[in-house]
Amino acid sequence: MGSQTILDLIASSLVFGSLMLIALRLNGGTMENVQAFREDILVQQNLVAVSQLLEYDFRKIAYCKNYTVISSPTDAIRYADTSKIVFWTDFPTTTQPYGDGVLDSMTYYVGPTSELSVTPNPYDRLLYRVENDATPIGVNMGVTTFNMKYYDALHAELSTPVDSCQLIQYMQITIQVEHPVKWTKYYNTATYDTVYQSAFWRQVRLVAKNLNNR
Amino acid sequence: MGLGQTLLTIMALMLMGRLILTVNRTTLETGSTKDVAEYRITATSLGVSLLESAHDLAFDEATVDTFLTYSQSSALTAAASFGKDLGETDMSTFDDIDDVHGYIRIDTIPNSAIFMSTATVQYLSVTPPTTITTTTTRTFNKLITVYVTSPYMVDYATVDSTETPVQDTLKFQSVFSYWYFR
Repeated sequence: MGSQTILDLIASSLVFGSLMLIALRLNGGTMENVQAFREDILVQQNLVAVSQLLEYDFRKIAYCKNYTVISSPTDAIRYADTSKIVFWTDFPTTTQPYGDGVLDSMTYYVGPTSELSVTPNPYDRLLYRVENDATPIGVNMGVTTFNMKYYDALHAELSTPVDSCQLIQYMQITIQVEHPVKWTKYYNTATYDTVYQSAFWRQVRLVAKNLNNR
Repeated sequence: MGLGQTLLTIMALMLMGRLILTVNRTTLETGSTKDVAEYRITATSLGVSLLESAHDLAFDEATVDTFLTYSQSSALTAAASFGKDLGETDMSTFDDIDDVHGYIRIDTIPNSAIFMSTATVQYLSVTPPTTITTTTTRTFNKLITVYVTSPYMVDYATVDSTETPVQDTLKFQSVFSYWYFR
């Protein structure tokens, strides 16, 4: 084996090694991206699930199949605070999809962050949706922010907890959902700290639209 | 290294380069699709918020302080006069639905994008059972259409004549009908 052959072997080994390193790095980067995107989709799906649930329930604030049961839609909200709301509605049943005409109470609130201390994310909380006096069961959808603001007919913000719930005309719901685990791929561009993947949703809802047709 | 080996090496590098570029493009497209999905969620919340705010308004300027009967449709605002009235600037000062016609709102959402919402209002002609058409004739039904778009919300599946992806726009519609308790 001549020196030229040895040089060829060394050169080809170097080229092969470089290509192999590139391929491995490429594979690693692709896998990391795929996993990160998958986790991002999970966060978005959680947010969509929570927002769909809220839209469905909040649209029916003050609704009752038997309209004589609620004397005034302004009495529909029983308690209103930044992270908790209790209101009258009418739940559908299997045989009566538009409600059974009996008033039901719905409660939404978020628990303390200590309930989810087992997750790496220190800000996520359990979201509770309670029908009447059922035992509260929280779901972990990665909710880190569940904030509600209340406004009167003149668009003035009401202080919370709201003393006179009948003044509430609008509410603004803000929800932020974060992933329970921090991925190093995501950075805050201002501080260069790694952050949790998050998705944000804010919506203004009218409370009792039956009052306002004129 | 002979000529044949050199050519083989160059070809291998070209193939590897092509592979890297393809993977890179796929990764970027996937990331972009994911971002656009997130923008669409935010845009949906903005569009529904605008519709909800409009729900709180009176049906027409003529019904803000009084009631109309079925035969008084001529008292309603003409379709050509839709738009904000004198002294009205935004949703907090609008008092009836057609004030929203031509309304433009820019929202800058933290950690998201800049969104532009626009609204149009039209009268609706309803012919039972299923025929519903827009009209300029005064009727007791109004259709509000809200468009929400953002320069960051791009539909890569649709390209224009220059093969450039087009900006995506979400459309929300709601029908308002006039009625009152007697």
